[in-house]
Amino acid sequence: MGRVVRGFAIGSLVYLCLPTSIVLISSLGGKGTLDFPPDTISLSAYGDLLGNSDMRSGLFRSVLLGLMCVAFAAIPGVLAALALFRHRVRFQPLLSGILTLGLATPLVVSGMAFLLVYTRLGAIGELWPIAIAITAVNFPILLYAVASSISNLNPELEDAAATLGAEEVQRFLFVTFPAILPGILTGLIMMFVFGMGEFLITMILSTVDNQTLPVVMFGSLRGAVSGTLAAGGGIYIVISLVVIFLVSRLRSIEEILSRPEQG
Amino acid sequence: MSVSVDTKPRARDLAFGWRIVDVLIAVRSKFAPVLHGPWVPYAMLIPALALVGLLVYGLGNLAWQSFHSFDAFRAQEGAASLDQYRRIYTGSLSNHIFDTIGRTVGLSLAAVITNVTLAVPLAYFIVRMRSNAWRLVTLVLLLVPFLIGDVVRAFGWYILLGRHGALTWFLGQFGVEDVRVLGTLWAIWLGMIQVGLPIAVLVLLPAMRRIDPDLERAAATLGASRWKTWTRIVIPLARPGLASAAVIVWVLSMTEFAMPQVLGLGRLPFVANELDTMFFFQSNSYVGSALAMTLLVIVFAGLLLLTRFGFGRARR
Repeated sequence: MGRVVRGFAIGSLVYLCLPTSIVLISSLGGKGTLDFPPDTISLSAYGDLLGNSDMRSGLFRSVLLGLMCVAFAAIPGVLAALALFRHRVRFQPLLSGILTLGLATPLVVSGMAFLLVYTRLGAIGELWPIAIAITAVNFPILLYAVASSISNLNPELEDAAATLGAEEVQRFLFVTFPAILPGILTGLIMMFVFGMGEFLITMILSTVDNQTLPVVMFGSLRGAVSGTLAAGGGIYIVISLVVIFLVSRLRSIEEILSRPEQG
Repeated sequence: MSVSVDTKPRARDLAFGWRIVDVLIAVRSKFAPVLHGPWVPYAMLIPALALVGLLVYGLGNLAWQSFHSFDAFRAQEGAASLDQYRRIYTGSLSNHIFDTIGRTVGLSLAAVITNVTLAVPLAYFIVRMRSNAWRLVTLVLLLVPFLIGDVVRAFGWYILLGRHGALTWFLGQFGVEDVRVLGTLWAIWLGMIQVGLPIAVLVLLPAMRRIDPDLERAAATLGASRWKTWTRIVIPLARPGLASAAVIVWVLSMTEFAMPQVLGLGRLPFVANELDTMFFFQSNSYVGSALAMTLLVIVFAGLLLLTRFGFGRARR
């Protein structure tokens, strides 16, 4: 590998990690202001965050939102992936195109589209409609995660099970499903993280009374920036680390976003 | 397959599990003719289509509103007209709107070019790395900034570039004082690299992994310089990945909201910020719809161009 390539690669990695590390360092400063470098090391900013009722309920709502996204996405996602990539359907490219619309539409436009629908239906002010909106937008992430598991499936395994006398139900429960389970879990974990950290759509659809942590943090960026905010960032960094650990136990990380073969 | 949680003998648990399987088999064979109809996969798509259908319905609403006049005083929808588009393209707003669209498109293109250019060496570095442990570390360093979400990313840059932030401290060590990056296009651009680079790399990885290292060795044996191997072998083979990376960065950048708001200090709005203003501060969702449709059309047009004509087909 050329020295130039390596230099560029390491340079961009350092660049990518700069703000993350700064957030972590500042969150450990434990003071009201965010001067760099911090004089003391403490976890008091995290205590302040849990003591602040807006932040605390925001954090709670964020976790709830992530879980709701998982709940809403799971069954439609798995069924759709099986239908599109394991069965024969006509108009397959068109149908998968429609289902990936959320990724191609700019987030802000999707947010405003849902705003109009929910205003009409009177569903503004609740958390679950926001979760539905986020699920619809992030749906392709789950779809592709399951689809890549399905395309890695060895069809001979099912045939072997059938030869050995397994019923169709048994083949699905004990052969097919365990084989695609890592893909499903990876997709659902991603749905959780993206639901929990989602900002733009949540901001558009939330009211003053049901803001999630990113929305609360964004709102308080306009005022004096405090260590509590850095602690909020620190929580997201820790959650990301946990998620990466979980996903890397399930499958190779490079697979997460690999696109399945169409057809 | 153990279903109950109490401490009964394991054989009973197994028997219970198998009984469930037996019931399922019985149910399935009873409904076999129905469950094997050609419509089954279509039925399986219904929940997903319903979910995305809500989005489609919303987009339809936006399109409808954008083509109708609106009496803001009486809050009443009027006849079908091009009023809303006329207002944003020809009215007193138009200069501001064109500035905003130009800024969004310009910085997004800059982000596409920078991110894809930086993603190629980084993806190559990850794929060709010998140690698996280091590869994992690299992927963690790449994925954390990707997963933390837009607000935390913007916040990180904000305290990094801010008045008492790390940059001031760092430059202060060299006696450089009073550097203002926040509130400039440069700050937004720096932030947008952070948004797009991780995902560009992740999208490139599969394409990069498919490149056979023997090809590069063969080229080197035949006397190709490193530069030539790079431009003739690696980049052409990574092209499908380059196109998808460019598409994703383009879509993400065009809808950027937090970076311009936080790092541009609100002075340099993108289309998303302008939409926020129109919908919530001016409460005029009809004008906003016209701008939203404009954004949608620009993004789809860029998407088509990038996928249709590939990325970097002209050899650079």
